[in-house]
Amino acid sequence: MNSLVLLLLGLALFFIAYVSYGAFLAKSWGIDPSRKTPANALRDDIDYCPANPNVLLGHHFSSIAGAGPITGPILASVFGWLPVYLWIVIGSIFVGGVHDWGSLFASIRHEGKSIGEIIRVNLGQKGKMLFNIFAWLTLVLVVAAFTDICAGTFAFDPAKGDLTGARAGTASVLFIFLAMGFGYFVYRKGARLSVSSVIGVALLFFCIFLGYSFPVLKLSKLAWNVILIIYIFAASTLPVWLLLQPRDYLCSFLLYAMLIGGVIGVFLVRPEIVISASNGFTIGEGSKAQYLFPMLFVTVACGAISGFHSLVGSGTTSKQINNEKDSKLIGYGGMLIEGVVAILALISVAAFKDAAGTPAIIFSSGIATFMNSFGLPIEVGKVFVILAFSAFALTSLDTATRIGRYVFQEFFDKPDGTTEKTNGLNMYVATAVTVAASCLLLLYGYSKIWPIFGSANQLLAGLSLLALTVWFANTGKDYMMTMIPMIFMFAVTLSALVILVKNFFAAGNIILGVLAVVLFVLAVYLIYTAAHTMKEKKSKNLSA
Amino acid sequence: MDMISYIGNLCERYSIYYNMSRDVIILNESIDIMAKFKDVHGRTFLGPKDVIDSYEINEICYVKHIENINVISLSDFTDFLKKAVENYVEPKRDHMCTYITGVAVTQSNINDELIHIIKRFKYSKSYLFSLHGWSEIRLLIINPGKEQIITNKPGKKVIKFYSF
Repeated sequence: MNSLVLLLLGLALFFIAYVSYGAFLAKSWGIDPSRKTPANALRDDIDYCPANPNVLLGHHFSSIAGAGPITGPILASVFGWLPVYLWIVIGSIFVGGVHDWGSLFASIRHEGKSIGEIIRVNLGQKGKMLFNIFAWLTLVLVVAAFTDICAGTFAFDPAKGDLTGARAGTASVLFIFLAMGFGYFVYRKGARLSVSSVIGVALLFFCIFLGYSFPVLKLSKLAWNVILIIYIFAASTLPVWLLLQPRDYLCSFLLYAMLIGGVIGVFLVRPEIVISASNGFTIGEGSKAQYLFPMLFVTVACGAISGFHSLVGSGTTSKQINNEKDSKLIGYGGMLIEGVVAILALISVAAFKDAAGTPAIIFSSGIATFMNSFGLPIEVGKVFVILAFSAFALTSLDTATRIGRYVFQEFFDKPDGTTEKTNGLNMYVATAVTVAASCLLLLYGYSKIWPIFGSANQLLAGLSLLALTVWFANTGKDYMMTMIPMIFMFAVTLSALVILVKNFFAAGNIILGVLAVVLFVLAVYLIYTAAHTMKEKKSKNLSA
Repeated sequence: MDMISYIGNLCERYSIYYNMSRDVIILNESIDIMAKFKDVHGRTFLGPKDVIDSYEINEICYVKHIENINVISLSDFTDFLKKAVENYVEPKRDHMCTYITGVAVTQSNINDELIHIIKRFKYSKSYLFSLHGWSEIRLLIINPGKEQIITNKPGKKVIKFYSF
């Protein structure tokens, strides 16, 4: 099988789905272009403000895109390329796309409230506390996983002598200072954004050149772990305009350059897929056994469906939609573009028999080889792609740390919304506790943590689909398009957690085993509470 | 355009986005228009109350009618603006910046010496190495009769708002 076929087929299926299934969903849900959106009805030019749909697609995609769509397909390729490809394509079209768009649409019809807020409002006070515990544990997992991924990618091994990680690490550190300088000149010195952007992008590539030519940061994985822990602590507590905002802005140029370069490269190289189409239902034995169902569906999360999309993405996007019909492009289209990134990641691992290393290394090697077809030296391409990958991983990291800190602080809120005077409220203490908990998990390695993160993330997706299904049912709309994915996601999540509990205890990983048990109990309770509360509300509505 | 019409126009423009007061005494100085604007940006997690990070940008505008503009009256006005920075800027964690915009409206001639002083005027303060933000004075001297606007460098960013 040629990878170009996979890419073209994926693009074609996504296009057909966007036009046909997208139109079907729009009709079923009653998307109404003449209806006023919250951005217009509640316009305050601060939170609620109509935006150009193309610009909004860019913002929405940047906020949902992370390292997930790259890491998931590469880790899941042990099952063979075919099941991963099918899940990416089918998942993006029928599960993830419906979930993202449905969440955005529900948010628009609920005055811009995010789907997470709608779920939490329906859970009651006890349920809200449990939801916060669940969210905090998930975020601690995310921080641990992405810290380890980045550290492993930047690490230099003197025995192997491969400088790729050191080059990318050096370029990444330079990039952080560049972003701060960019922010300083644009915000503090009032430099024009257009001119600064051109200079910023040029300097971004200069950072890659410097990192490539002078890889001075030849550090071990442990050293990088320590550096990254210090970095996320600082990034999570520094003013957002000083580092995060300019870095995210410059990052978006990296993402688009990488996507375009990767697609053009696959078109020019047309590499053959060399790994097996399928490796059967079971990989490994005993406590290390992995089953296609449910592990494939929790490992490939962001590339097919991700609960965090509805929480992070729909919160702000829905307040800026100018017209309900734009929600299709942004909600559904955004998820399908993420599916394209996941297909590229799969091709980057499937086209090379000897692909080895961290997902970032595998992905960068693959894409760099493809980009070499139009003259970009492979080693430079590798540094470029790793820089892009790590930039997104760092964005996921500091966003997760910030949310984790916030959720932890909220544990100390009184039921009436006021706060108790405890150390837990202190921003630095809350950040330190969140980061310290992640450090404990770091000791176990991210590959063991990843399936738990995937399960927790997919449970959020299941809860969002549950909220959507109940809402559609209550309003007399067809709810099968959300109910079927919801049942599937709950089945995936719960069975994955059961298998993980069994495997962790069998392997003697008591901490991860207990964590998986806690998540399982929370998952069952949250599903029960959400379903029960929503059913009660429906009964009240009917009797009223 | 005469001064009264121009100040009336400014009031209309301010009233759209600013909280505005007319004819107030601030720091023992008589001010024709005071207008305040506060813009808060932030990211939320689940709901609008779950703010995970935010920053605010403030602007306080003082419009003063100065009959005869000269070096002394200009100096008095800039001293007032500096005092406003000391008294009304509130540096804190989520504070990104506060602009103090001083607009002197006059019907008298703005000579070359004044133009030179205005263009070179610069006043800016950082708080806790900018971690608690910064403040900056934008200075504009406007002669509506001659449709003339002279600004310092930061003031150029808002020149369009004050055009005729």
